[in-house]
Amino acid sequence: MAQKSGYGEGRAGFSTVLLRRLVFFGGKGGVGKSTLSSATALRLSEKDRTLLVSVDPAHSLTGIFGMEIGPQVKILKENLYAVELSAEILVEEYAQRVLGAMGELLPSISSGLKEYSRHIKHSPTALETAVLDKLVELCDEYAFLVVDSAPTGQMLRLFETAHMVSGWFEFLFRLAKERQRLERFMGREDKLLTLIEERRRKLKTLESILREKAVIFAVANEERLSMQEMETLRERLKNFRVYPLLNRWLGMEWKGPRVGWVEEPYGLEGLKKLDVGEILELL
Amino acid sequence: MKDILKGFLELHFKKQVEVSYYYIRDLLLLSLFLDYFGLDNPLGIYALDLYPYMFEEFHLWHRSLGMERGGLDFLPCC
Repeated sequence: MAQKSGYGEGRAGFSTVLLRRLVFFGGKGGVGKSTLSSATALRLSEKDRTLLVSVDPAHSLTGIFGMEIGPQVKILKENLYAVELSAEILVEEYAQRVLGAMGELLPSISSGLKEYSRHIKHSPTALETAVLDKLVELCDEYAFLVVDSAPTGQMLRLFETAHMVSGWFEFLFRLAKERQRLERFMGREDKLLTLIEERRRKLKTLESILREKAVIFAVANEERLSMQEMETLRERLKNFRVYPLLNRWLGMEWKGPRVGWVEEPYGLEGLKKLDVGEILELL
Repeated sequence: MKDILKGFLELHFKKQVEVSYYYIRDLLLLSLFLDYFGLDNPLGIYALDLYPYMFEEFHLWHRSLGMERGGLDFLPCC
């Protein structure tokens, strides 16, 4: 995949015209999020260009498809692409990109910034912001994005981070704008505002994608604990479109969408056995 | 005429503008350098490329706070 341009290169905005749906699968560990995302992505790829993204640090797509997937976007079959995002690699890439440009500009501090990026790689906020940033970029190129999320807690953090960082940049933007007004009065110029504005716009795009195009499936099995987590997910994300979904359904009374029990639904052929029709109807 | 007007404005408002400028600057720098005070910085790494632009200002700022040296390894400003 071609290297996408990032911050600091004056990207005007993100076109998300192509994107039709951003589908998330969340829920307790082991309820079948990865299998369902894979099966759904497979069916969606019959309609249009689809990307399956795993953001769970413990990736399982490789096992499900029976082929190595990894951190570079890989084509699985016509219209179906998959990638296992590694937040650490993303942070590294971003830092390299920024530092490369900065090193030429200000050689005196680039070694210091390198040191900094080595430490920041392990900051929890850095990992989440890196994943979100990559998601926005990927939304540019596909009609359907299916996201295999990490278990409940981490998924909630991802959504909350999006909201928090966006709000924070809004605040910084207001500050920088006021500062620029004052600087202009004193006959000086300020570059900071443009940089902050660019990021703010990117985060706004992310927020509007999540609001308008995201569909979240809170997955559970016929088992009490996973049902409880499903409820938590639904409550905490009530500003988004969340559907409770029962996987490995065996016959319990259930009004919402459900997917029946299938033995060993792995590999491109095996996944076809899963009936995800009720999921597709909601997209 | 323009010069006279400019001179008048500067004479009367420069001080106030400068004061509010420093106020805004302090707040902005505080927000970008939250980790400097041991607080979590919600921007994570996405402030990385802003730092070089803030480099000189950061130096003036920590001086104005009464700190001789910046004390940040990654911004060796002193």
